[in-house]
Amino acid sequence: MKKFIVPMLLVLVAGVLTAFVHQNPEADRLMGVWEPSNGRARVKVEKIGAKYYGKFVWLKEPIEPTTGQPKTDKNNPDPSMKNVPLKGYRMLKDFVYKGNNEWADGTIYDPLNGSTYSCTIKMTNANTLDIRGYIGVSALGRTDVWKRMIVK
Amino acid sequence: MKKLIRFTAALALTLMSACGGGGEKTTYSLKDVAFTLEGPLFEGPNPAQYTVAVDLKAILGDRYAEGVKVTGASLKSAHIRAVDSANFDGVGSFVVSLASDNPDLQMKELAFLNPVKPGTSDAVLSVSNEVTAEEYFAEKQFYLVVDASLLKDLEANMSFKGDFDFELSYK
Repeated sequence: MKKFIVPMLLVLVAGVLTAFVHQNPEADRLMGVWEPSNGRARVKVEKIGAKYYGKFVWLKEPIEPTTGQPKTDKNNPDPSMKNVPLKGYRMLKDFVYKGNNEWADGTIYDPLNGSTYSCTIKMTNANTLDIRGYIGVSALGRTDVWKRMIVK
Repeated sequence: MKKLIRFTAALALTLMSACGGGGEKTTYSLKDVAFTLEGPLFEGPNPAQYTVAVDLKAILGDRYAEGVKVTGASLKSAHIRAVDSANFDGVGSFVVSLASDNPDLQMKELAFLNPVKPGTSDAVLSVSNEVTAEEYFAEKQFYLVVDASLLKDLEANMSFKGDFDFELSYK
């Protein structure tokens, strides 16, 4: 009987540890739906593995005026990916929680020009984020203030 | 003169080999990968993910040698199939991405289908001509993410299967 119990316990412990490794309530506060200051989009932040990603879930102007069709990522630098729908596109990618209410190592994508910038996120309170996009060093960048859509 | 021609030819071959990633090529196929989106699902993109364990011994079989590395990887085809005689009515688009826990690796979009035509039950996705993923095959594991963008809310679960073929270069 011991032969079966020990391996089963090991599998159980491994499973619990794996689940625990990817759960961090402090870091997970970033998850939710956020609105940039211009109010033209809403971005839902989710977790994949141990990192955080944000995708467009609502666009104020979802239709491309020239085609009458839903907007696509027409400025994607990869020509073969220009028809990817903009709604659902992950514009925040690969953020890692660094402690002290800050997520870093990620990027932010601007679909208006197809450019990707380094980015850090600072949670100034439970419902407000400072999103800083930059090239090279953080000092050379711009900060936008995002508000949580469902206030906690 | 002959020496110069031979030297030039040898140099050209070396450069071509280096630029092409070099080494051998193989196809790595992920077949019948099962994805389930647990309902209730809401209008818009809903992600499902599958963890790919990278085992070069299993991928390369007899061709595996100690120290072998994947020098090039690109997705060549991606199919997503409905299960249980269902179709993808109500799905607006699919996007396939790769993600990793490694902070040095960025998520990459590799394939998509937009729009998904009504009645489709076997979706053949367009794959990127430019995006490569060799760095993911240096990891122990990575995530294959499929985003299904729904046209309206769905109370039930949604299940589908995927086939993905990667072309790998290794040496």
